[in-house]
Amino acid sequence: MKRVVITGLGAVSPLGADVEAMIQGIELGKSAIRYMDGWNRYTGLKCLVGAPAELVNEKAIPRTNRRSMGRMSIFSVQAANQALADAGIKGEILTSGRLGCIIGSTMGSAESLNDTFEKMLPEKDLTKLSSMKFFQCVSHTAAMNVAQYLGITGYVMATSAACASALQAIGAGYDLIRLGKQDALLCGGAEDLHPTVTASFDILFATSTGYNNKPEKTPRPFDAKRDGLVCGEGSGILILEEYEHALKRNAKIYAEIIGYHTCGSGVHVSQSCKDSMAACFRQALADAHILPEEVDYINAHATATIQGDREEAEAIREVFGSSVPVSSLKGHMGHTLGASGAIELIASLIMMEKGCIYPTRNLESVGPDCDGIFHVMKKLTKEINIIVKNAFAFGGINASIVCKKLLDS
Amino acid sequence: MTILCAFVSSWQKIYFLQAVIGYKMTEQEIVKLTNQVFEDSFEIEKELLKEEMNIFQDLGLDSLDIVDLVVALQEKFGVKIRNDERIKGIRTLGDIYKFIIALKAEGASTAIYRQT
Repeated sequence: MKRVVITGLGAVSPLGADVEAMIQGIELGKSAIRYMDGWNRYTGLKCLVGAPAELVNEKAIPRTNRRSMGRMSIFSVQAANQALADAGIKGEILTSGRLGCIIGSTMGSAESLNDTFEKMLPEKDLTKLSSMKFFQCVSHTAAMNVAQYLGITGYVMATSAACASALQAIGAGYDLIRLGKQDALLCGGAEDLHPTVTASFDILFATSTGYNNKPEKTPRPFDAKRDGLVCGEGSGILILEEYEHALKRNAKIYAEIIGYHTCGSGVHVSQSCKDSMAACFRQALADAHILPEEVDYINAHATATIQGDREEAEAIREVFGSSVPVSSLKGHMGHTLGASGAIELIASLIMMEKGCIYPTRNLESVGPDCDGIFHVMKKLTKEINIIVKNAFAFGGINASIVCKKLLDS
Repeated sequence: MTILCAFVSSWQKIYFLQAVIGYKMTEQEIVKLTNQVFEDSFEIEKELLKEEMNIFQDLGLDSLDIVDLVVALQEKFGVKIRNDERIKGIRTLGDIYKFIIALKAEGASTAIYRQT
């Protein structure tokens, strides 16, 4: 098996248009959660807050590329450009067939899907539809658009497992490089924020509804007063590269991916299951050939739902005990759904680089049902050699990835 | 009339009233509205919008753009042209002006007022 390292990072998040802005926002303890004007027009929608990302400088993408992109694909292209620049990758490798692109999302652009149906359905009239709607709405819209924009001729794939989509994309990329099928891959996730997306969680009573008048106070991962998730948007892209390939280029290496696992719970479509989460952790650790106590930091999925946080905390307690620091970044950026695994892994890798752990924003009083694990409630300075990043999704999908600082680089 | 006007937008009111008094869109207006489509939908700079410009070679449109051009022209002029064979012969911006002018002259427009 070949070794896989991460050599480039790029992100468009609710906290800003690049990785630096995101980290600065997290470091300052900023909240990207806003009251969403106009959402109160939707009858029955109880969560009126969200974490939007700003669309900036999108016209730098040529019209013939941009026309097939919804918001999430534009975010992805911008994140991909950042990641490639960070990795110092350009030119022939993009069209060599040895570099690919795997970008996951819950679905295609929610905004484009909504536009399409709003135009078509009132009069059941297809003649008003742009030819580009298909390309904006399909599930592989971000992967396809990034690949077309960059001229990528290697593997082009889209994982679709809701909130676990990005980690599955990174995991799939890890496997492809391990097997020698690709030398490098752009991997990550993307998502749009739209009231219809929040509504899908709202209907299931999974959203935060009690903080519409004080958005910065929610979501509250692991907190006693948590009341649900807040949807966000953006894209995170990481450059995964075969170790020798990266060494030959003298590339900066953020970390090595040493373990990954994804699995289904087989129990319930919406209720998280601590046993299958714990099984996922154990398999990822076994893949990495490490023990739980070797992990220095767990970046939790923790979206601030009552049930999901409880199950994750219990699973972490069962496998890792109470000595491994745990924090969630949902309190800063909301839940960027299909993008969250990548965006939050990027932030975790920066924490590894800086030797510090950012606390869980809005975690003021740990919920009794989430107790017994090492919650990071204020910035913690600590050498971090191994991190575990979790993502869990509706449909009973679990994913965990293990990254290790490359000490010999 | 008052009751009817209350239910339509101000643009629609203008076009409806123009239709009632027998108003016909001038060729100059057709050129202006067509150029607006190219500026808004295809981000073509105003200076390039000359009738001799080939919409493919000079303005950079491709086959997918033609689908969107048809949608935009239908909306702008309140016409139904999706299945009109003459679209296949369009090469220049001037061809589009002539096509819309001919449509208007034929009274082929199915709309009394512009759909805004």
